[in-house]
Amino acid sequence: LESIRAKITLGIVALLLIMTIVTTAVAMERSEDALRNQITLTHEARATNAAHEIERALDRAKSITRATAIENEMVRPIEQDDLENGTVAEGRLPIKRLMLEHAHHSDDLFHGALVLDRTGSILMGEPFALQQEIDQDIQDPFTADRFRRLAEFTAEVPSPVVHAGSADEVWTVSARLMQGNEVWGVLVLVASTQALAELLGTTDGDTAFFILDHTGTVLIGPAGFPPGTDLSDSVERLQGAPRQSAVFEHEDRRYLATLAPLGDDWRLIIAQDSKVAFAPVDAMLATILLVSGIVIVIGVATGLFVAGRITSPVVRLKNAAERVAAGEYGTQVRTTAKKDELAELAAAFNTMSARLLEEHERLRRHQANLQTTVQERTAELKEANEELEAFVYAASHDLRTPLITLDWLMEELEAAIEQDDTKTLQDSLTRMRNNVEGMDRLILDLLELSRIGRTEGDPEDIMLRPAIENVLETIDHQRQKRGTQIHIEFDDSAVVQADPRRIEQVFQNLLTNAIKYGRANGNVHVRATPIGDPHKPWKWRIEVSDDGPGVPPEHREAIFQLFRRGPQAEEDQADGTGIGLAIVRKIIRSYGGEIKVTSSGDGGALFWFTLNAARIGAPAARSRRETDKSRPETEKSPQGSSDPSAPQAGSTDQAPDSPPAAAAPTGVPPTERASGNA
Amino acid sequence: VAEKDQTDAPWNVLVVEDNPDHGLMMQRTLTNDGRIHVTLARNAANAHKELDAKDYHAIVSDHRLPDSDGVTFIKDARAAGYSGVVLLVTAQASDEIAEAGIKAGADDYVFKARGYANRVLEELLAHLGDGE
Repeated sequence: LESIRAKITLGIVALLLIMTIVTTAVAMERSEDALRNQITLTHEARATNAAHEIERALDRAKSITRATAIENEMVRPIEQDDLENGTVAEGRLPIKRLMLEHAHHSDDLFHGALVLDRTGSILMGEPFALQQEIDQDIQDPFTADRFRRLAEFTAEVPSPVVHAGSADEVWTVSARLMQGNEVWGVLVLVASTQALAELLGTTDGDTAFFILDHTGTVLIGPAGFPPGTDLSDSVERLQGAPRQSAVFEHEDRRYLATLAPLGDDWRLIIAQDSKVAFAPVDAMLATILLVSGIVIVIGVATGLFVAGRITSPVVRLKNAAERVAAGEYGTQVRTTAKKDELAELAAAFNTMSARLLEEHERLRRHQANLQTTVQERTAELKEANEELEAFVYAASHDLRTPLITLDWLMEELEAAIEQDDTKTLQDSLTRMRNNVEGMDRLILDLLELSRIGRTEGDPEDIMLRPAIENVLETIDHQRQKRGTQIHIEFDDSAVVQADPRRIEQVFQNLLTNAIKYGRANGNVHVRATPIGDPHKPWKWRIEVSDDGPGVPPEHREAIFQLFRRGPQAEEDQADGTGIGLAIVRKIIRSYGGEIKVTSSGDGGALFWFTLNAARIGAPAARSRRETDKSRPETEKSPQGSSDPSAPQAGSTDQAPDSPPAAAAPTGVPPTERASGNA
Repeated sequence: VAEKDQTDAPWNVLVVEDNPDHGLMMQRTLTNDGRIHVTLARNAANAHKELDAKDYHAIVSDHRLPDSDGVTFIKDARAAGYSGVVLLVTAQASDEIAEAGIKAGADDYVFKARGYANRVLEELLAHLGDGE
């Protein structure tokens, strides 16, 4: 992801760089060309202007000298006495004043004037001193000689002559001074190199000028180019170049040189250090580069920013995705209000993550359910297996025990017959009958047990009240014998889903046990409590409690197993097959309920079990028997359901060890006895 | 406990048996030849009481008892110092219980089968005879 950011940044930067470089290059090239052209043009104009300046100055000088020459009569050789007296004779005006009168102003270029005689001696000068002084001053033989030659030359030429020289005063315009037809002297105007440079604006140190004659020979040149230097090649080259400009190299420096005509046959060359001349180009290029640099810096910063803006949501998404991958389902990324593709992606990611969490939770629950189911199934299987083992163990014992007894009793019977012992005979026969009945009961119970859950129809909604009243009738005989009072403490609202015959079996077994193990003349309570909404319960909890010795905690699980009886049952030699509670538990479990035994408040046994409540309320419940309306029984009556007959309890059979014929085999539908209670 | 005229019998035997028919069968069978006096106990608790109260030459205990089992009872009796003959009677031909009984201190065992009372008598006489 970081590389995406880098790539985007790099892309943006590279794009900006390329654009900037191309733009810069094009701009630089065009600008440089244009600027160079412009500079060259300017240079050319400068050279032309310089030439014009010189020409103008020369023209002025010529006009001065010409005019002076014309009026030369006014200019006479200064007499020695004039010099000595410092006076000027009438009609002899100072040369300077004369010049000013013609030129009207001081000339920039020419700073002095001289009158020379034909020999080149200075007759007078302005601001030059007198001849003597001049002679003293002008020690330079070249200058002196030059004046001489100038005077000689000018004397031969009829019009003002321009000379260019290489000394300090390099410019001279001279004109003949006539007296009659005779040349008596020469008027010379003098300019200095410095003045010329100032006129041309070449005093900056980077610029130089050359004045060449028509052959290309230097008349005036900078240091290194003395008069007489031949530059005809350069002139030719310049003449062939556009705008008569070119760049020359001299002593490791480059110069932009431009040629301009000076007068009719002289030439002026202005040369400028190209670095200086083209400095604007460099400045412009530097500016362009600076601007480009700024553009690139701004571009890189913008690129980083944009890349960050683009990639930071992606980075957030990546981090969130990694957390999801690590198992943190449901991880959400921050979404912005923006409606771009990344925001949509983030929203989609959040949805996906939430869905993952949901699915994960669902799977986890499913797995947990599966595990629970497997554990339950395993426990059920284990229990079934143990039940089977217990059955095999118990059957071998409980079925063989009476057989062994019968076998022995038959021997006793034989002996009694032999000895004519009627009492033993009777006793043995009774015992044999009891054992046979016991075996029959056992086998019937086993058959019943095996039938539970196999031959059931769909459970119906049945009211508990009529069902238990049927049972009470069936066991009334036993109840009376023990003097037990049974209290039914619920009303017709208790409706459960079950087979009515099975529910009666459950109550018959539990009530029989309660009567059997409860105290004589004790109390048995039957309660039903709704679980959940009292008006619309989803289950009922039914309790049967007695006031007997109860079941010790360590036996509370075992008594529901096949052939296992509580210690009290064993102790009392209570009759029973050890199957009853196993049947009860199997019935309750077949309806998805559970059954437990615990201690009632007064130490007796309290059996409770749960059954599903009626599916659609109580009214649809079917009552097994509606005849109970004849029995005016109150809820929670301390008198119990069948108490009115209690005083007659035990009247039918007082024999303590008589067979419990009254106890109908469990599971057999209650026989319709005459309801003597009413 | 059914009493017979057997007070002169030389050997006192305690029979621990919860089934009354089997108890009677044991009593009648063992006392037949007059050498054994039988006391019946219906459960382990009563049997321990009997052992505390009286000297017994032998104990015959059923494995299945209402308040315990024969093996445990035998172990407890041996732990309490009983040194007489002990026979364990088990309902099914289970070698495991028989072995556990021997380990717990029983001298021998008898499986409950038809006529097993006679086998108990034979074993008793054999062991008591050895002891003499």
